[in-house]
Amino acid sequence: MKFRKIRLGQLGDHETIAFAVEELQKNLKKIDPCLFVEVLLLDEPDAACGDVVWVGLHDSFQVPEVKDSYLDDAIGICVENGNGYITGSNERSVLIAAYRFLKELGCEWVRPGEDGIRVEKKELEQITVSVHEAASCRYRGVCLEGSTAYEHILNILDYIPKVGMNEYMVQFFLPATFFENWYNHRENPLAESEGKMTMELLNGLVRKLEAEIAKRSIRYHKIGHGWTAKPLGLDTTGWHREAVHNVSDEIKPYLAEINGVRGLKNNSPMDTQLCYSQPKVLKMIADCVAEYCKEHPYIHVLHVWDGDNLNNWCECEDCQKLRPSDWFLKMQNAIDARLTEEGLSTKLCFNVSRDKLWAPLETKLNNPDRFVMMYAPITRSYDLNYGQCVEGTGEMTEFVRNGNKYPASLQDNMAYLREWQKSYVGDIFLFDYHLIWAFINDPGLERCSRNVYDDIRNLRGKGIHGYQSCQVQREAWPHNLPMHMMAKTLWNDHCDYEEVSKDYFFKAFGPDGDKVRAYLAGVSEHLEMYIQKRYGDPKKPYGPFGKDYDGLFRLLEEFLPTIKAHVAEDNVYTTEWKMLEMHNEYVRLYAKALVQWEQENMEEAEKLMEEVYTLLQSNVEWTHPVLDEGNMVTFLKRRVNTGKQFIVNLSDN
Amino acid sequence: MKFRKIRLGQLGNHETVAFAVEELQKNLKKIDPCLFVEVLLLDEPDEACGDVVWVGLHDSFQVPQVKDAFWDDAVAISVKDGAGYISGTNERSVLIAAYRFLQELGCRWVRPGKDGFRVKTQELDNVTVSVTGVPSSRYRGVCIEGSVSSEHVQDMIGYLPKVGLNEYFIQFMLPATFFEGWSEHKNNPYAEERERPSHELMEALVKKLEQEVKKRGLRYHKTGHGWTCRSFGMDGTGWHLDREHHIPEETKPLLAQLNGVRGLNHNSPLDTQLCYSKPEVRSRIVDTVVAYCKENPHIDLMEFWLADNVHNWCECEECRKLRPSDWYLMILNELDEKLTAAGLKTRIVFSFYLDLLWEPLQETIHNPDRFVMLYAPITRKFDETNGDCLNVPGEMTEFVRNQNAYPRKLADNLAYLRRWKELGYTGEVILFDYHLIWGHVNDPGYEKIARVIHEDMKYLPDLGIHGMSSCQVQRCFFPTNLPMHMMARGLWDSSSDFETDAKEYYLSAYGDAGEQVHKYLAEVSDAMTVIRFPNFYLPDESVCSDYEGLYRLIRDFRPVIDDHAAREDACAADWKLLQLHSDYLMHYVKMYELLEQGKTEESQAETKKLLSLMAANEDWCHPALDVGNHAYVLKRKLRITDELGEGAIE
Repeated sequence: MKFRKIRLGQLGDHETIAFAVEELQKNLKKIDPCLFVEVLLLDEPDAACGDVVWVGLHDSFQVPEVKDSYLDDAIGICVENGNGYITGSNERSVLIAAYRFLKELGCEWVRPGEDGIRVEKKELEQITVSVHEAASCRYRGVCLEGSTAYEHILNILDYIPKVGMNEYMVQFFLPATFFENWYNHRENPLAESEGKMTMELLNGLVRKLEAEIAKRSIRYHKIGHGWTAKPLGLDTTGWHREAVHNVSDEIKPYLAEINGVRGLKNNSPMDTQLCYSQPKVLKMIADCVAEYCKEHPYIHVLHVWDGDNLNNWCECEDCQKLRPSDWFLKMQNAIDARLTEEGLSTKLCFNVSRDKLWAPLETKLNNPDRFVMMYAPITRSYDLNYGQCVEGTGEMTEFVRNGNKYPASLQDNMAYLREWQKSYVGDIFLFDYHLIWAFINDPGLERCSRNVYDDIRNLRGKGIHGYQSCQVQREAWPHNLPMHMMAKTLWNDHCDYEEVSKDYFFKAFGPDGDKVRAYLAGVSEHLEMYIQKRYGDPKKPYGPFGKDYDGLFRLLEEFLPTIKAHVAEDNVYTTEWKMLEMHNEYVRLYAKALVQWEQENMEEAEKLMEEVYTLLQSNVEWTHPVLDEGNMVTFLKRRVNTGKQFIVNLSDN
Repeated sequence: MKFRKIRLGQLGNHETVAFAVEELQKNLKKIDPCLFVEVLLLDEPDEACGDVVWVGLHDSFQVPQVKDAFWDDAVAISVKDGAGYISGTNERSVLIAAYRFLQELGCRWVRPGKDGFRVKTQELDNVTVSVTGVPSSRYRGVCIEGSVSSEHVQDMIGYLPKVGLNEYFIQFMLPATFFEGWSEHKNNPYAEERERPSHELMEALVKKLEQEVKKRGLRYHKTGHGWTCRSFGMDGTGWHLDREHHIPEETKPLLAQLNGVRGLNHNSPLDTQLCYSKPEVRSRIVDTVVAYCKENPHIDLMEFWLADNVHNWCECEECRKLRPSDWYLMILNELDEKLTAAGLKTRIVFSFYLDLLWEPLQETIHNPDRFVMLYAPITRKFDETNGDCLNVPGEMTEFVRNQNAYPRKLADNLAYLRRWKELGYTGEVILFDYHLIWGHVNDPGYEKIARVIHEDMKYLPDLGIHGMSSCQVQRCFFPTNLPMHMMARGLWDSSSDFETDAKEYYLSAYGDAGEQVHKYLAEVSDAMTVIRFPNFYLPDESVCSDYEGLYRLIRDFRPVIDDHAAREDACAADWKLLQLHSDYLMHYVKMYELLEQGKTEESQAETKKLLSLMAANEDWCHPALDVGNHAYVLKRKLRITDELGEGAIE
C-alpha cells in the first residue's frame, strides 16, 4: 500500500504565492483525489525538508532571463520525482507557473467559469515536470467591455492567469455602463430589470474585484476615458448620451470649440474634448491625475485618454496650431511632470487612435520611461492580419481637423503607427476589438480564431509588445477558441494553430472534439461577414454575406444528431454540447435571414432576425456565463439597421 | 425571467471576514448554482448600496452581549429578503455566523474533509434567516493527538468553525510525535513507504497550519509538555520511549531524583520531572517560556505544563518539603512576574491532572487573570457523565509522593477540582478530556460515547468549567462523527437535545435511511458495554449479554449498507465506511466473545485480524479512521505486546 503524496513548500507570505499554493492543492486533489497534498511554509527552501516542490521566488531557481522581472513573465518549473520548484520572474509568474504545472499534469481551463475546467484524473506518482519559458509578449490583457454582472468579471479575472495572461483593465472611474447593461437588461425584454446601480454599490463591487486582481498580482490598468470630464465635475462613468448633464457656464470655456460653440459633444462628457491649448486645462488634468494616483497606488498602469469619439477637436485659434496628437503629448508631459514632482511612479498609458493616428509634428514625450502607448486601430477591418501588413503597404491621408477620413484597412492603420514609431521608442501594446464586435460576424469562430492567432504572432515583428483585448467578458459561445488562441499566442507566438486548436476542441468537447472542430470550421467557411466591413458594405447592401447556403443548412442538419446524442449524456462536456445545440439553431435562423436579405426580402429577413434575437434572449438564464446576448443583439440589430440604411441610400441615389 | 442574486457586503479587509465571504460565496453557489453571488467591499455598511447582506463587524448590528468580545463568541444573523447582516462579536464569530447562515439554508458538514459536506440544493429567492446565539461555553476546542498528516490537521482546522468550535491546540514545541505516527505507519504492515520527517519539515508544516488557524481567527493554543526538555537540551517533541536520548551532562543533576537516582523516567525526557526546588531549574524554565512567548505573539494561549506521566516527582529533601502543585504554582508565579516585566500579555494555561490534582498547601496564584486551568481527568471512566456527578461529593485520597492512586470515578475527579476552588482558585477552567482519543474505541457503535460527551459538555457551566479542549485523535469518525458533532452541539448550546440533534445528524450523514443507521448503531452500542471499564483495562466481566443477537443485528443490516454504498451520491462515502465497519464489528465482537470464553490466544488472533482489516483499508478510510491510534488502543487493551509484523497478518 502506497500513500501518494506531494509536498508543496510555500516560500514566504505573499498573497499571490499563497494563492498559487492553494490552487495547486485544490487542483492536484482534483487530478488525484487520493493524493496527499501537504503544504509547508518557509522563507527559504531547505534541503533538510526532503522532497518538496517549492513554490515561490528564490535566487537559486532557474528562470529564463527577462528584461524586466516586474513587467515580464517567465516561468521555471523543475520538478523531478516530486522534488524541485515552481517559480517565475515575479509573483504573478509563479501563479502562472502553478497553473502551467497543473496543465502539464492534466488540468485545462477551456473557458472562464466553474464549468470551464477539465481534469484528466490519474494517480500522481513521482511527479516530474520541466518547463522553462518566457512569454513572447509583455502585455497580455483583457479590457472590460460589454454587459457584466460582478460574477462575469470575477470569472474572467480568475481565468486570466490560468491561460498565462497577465493584465486586466477596468475602464472608467467607475465602470457603471457595463454593469448597467447587465442589470437593466436593456437588450433583453424577457429579463426583468434588476434595479438601479448606485455609485456606492458600484464602488463596493469594483473594490472587491480589485482585491481579486491583487490576489493574483495581475497588472491592473484603469480608467481610459474620463479625464476630460472629471476635472470639470462631469459624469465619468459611461457615455450616457441620453442623460441630462449639467454643464455650467463656468466650465464651458474649457470645452472644445466646434463650429464656434463650446459644449458637449453628442451630449456626452465622455465624448467631449477640451481646449487643450489652455495651460489651465492641462494643469487641471495633471492635478486630477496626480491626486488620483496618490489615492490609488495599487493601479499599475493608469490610462489617460482624451475624449472618445471623433470630429470633436477644438477648433479655437490656438488649438488649430497643432495636431491633436501634439496637444495630447503635451498633456501627457504635463502629467508626467506633476507626478514626478509628487514622487509618484505610476506608469501612464496614452492611446493612439482615430484623430491621434496622425503623429505629432513637434511634440515628444519628455520622459518616455513613464509611458506605454496603446495603439487602437478601431476602424480596421479583419480581412488581413498584421503579418500581411508589410512595410511600404498602406496609405495615409492628410490630417484634416474634424474632417479626417479614418483608415479602414489594417494596412492603412499600420502606416500611421509606423509614422509614430519614427519618433516614439517606448513600449506599445495593441488594443483591438476582435472579441467585442468582429467575432459576431463569424458564427463558427474559426476565421476569428485564425485572425487573432495571425495578428498576435506578428505583433513583435511590428514593434508591438502585446495585446489588450477590448472585449466582452462573455464570448465563449459556442466555444472559446478565439480567446484560448489569443492567450496561447501571446504566451508563445511560435505556437502551432492546428495543434492548439485540435487540443482545445478535444478538451472542450471530449473525444468528438475533432468533429466539432471540422463542423464549426465549415460554418465559418460558409459565412464571410468577418472579412467584410463590420456592419456591411454600403456598396453591396444585399451581400453576398456567405456562400453555398444549402451546403450550410445541410451541414447544420447533418451534425445535429451528433450534438443531440452528446446533449443526452451527462458529463463534463454536456454544457458545451448544449451550447452547440442552441448555436446550431442560431446559425440556421441567422443564415435563413441572410438568404432572405440577399434575396432583397428585408421584411422576411427582419422577421427571422427577430427569431434570432428571441433565441439569444430566451436562453440567457443558462447561457449568460458564455454569451453576452445584450452585446450580440445590439450588434446584430445595428448591422440590420445599417444594412437598411445603405439600401435606403442606394434607392435615394 | 428573473435572475436570482444575493449581494454580500464584506466589511473591511480582515482576513477572517474575507474568508467568511469566500465561504459564503462558494457554498451559496452549491446550494443554488444559478444564484448570482456578488461581493462588494466597503468599510461601513451603506444604505445607498440597496439590498446587501453585510458580513463583518459593525456597531449598528445587534449582536448579543458577551463579557469579553475577544474571548467570547456570539453570532447575529438578521437577513430579510436578501438584506441585512451576518455578524458576531469578533471576526471568528463572523465566520461561525457565516457557516450558521449556510446551515440554515441547507448546508451540513457531517465530518471534517470534503466528503463531509452535504448540501440541499434549492432556489434561493429572497433569502431570509434570523439567528442570534451565544455559546454556552467560552472554550470550544480540539487538541492535536493521534497520528496525522498535515492534511488531516488541515481538515480538522477547516471543520472547527463550521460546527461552532473556536480553538485549536498544537501540542509540544514541535508536534513531531503525531506527524511521525502517520509517516512511519507503525501499525500498518501494508504501508510500503515509511519515513521519519525532519524537524525542519515539520516546523514548516506547522507554520502553514498556523496560517490556516489564523485565517479562521481561531484561538490558538500551543505547547503543553516540553518545557522541562527544551530548557535543558533534551528532546521534547514526543514521548519517544524507544529512542536513544542525549542528556547533557549539566542537565543530569537537575533531573528529578527517584529512588536516589537522577535520570530519565521511562527513557523519556517528556515523562521526566525536574528538581523544581532548585531555583536554577525554575528560572531556566521560566526564561524559556518568556522567550518563546516573545517570539510567538500569534499564540493566544500558551500551555505551560510540566512533565507527563505519573510517580515521577523528585524525592530530594528540598522537593519533598512541598507538594508538586506547590512547586508548579511557584513556577507559574515566577513566570507571571517575568512576563509582566517583559510586557507580555500571553495567557498561560496550566495543567491540573494526575499528581497535581492534590491541592497546593502553601502556594497560591498571584495574578489569576494571567492563567487558565486545564482540568484533565485522564484516569476517569466514561460510564458516568458530568451531569450524573453534579451533586455527588466524590472522594479524595491523601497525597502520597509517587504512590498516589488516581481517581477513576468522574465524581472523585471533580472532588479534587472543587477542592482547588474551595481553596481560592477563582480563575477559568477548561476541561481537557479524552473521550475521542481512547474512549471511543471502547464503544463501537459510538452512541454511548456520543451521549457521554454531550452530557459532559452540557453540564460544564454548572460545574464552573468554561469549556473543553478535546484531547483527541483528528480522525475519529469511524463509522460516524456523532460524538464530535454532539460535543460541538453541547458546547454551543447546553440545552441542546441529544435525540433531536442525533436524528438530524444521521439524516444529513446518511440521507433518508439515516434513522435506520441511527437505530442500528444505537443497538450495536447498547449491546457492547466495554466502555464501562477504564480505557486500557481488560474487561473481567461480560461485555455483551447476547453475542448471537449482536452478530444477527450486524448481518441483518448489512444488505441495507451494501445497497446504499453502491449508490454514487453524496452520502456514499459514509456508507462505505459503514461497510468496513460492519466487517470490523464482526471481528470486534468475536474478539470479546473469545476473551470471555477464556480463549485468550484466539481472542488475540481475532484482534490481529481486526488490525489487519483496518490496515488493509487505510489507504481510503484514513480521513475517518486513525488506524495507528486505534490499533494502539486495541493492542494495549488486549495485551498484545508484539508489534504487528508481517507474520501477524492473516
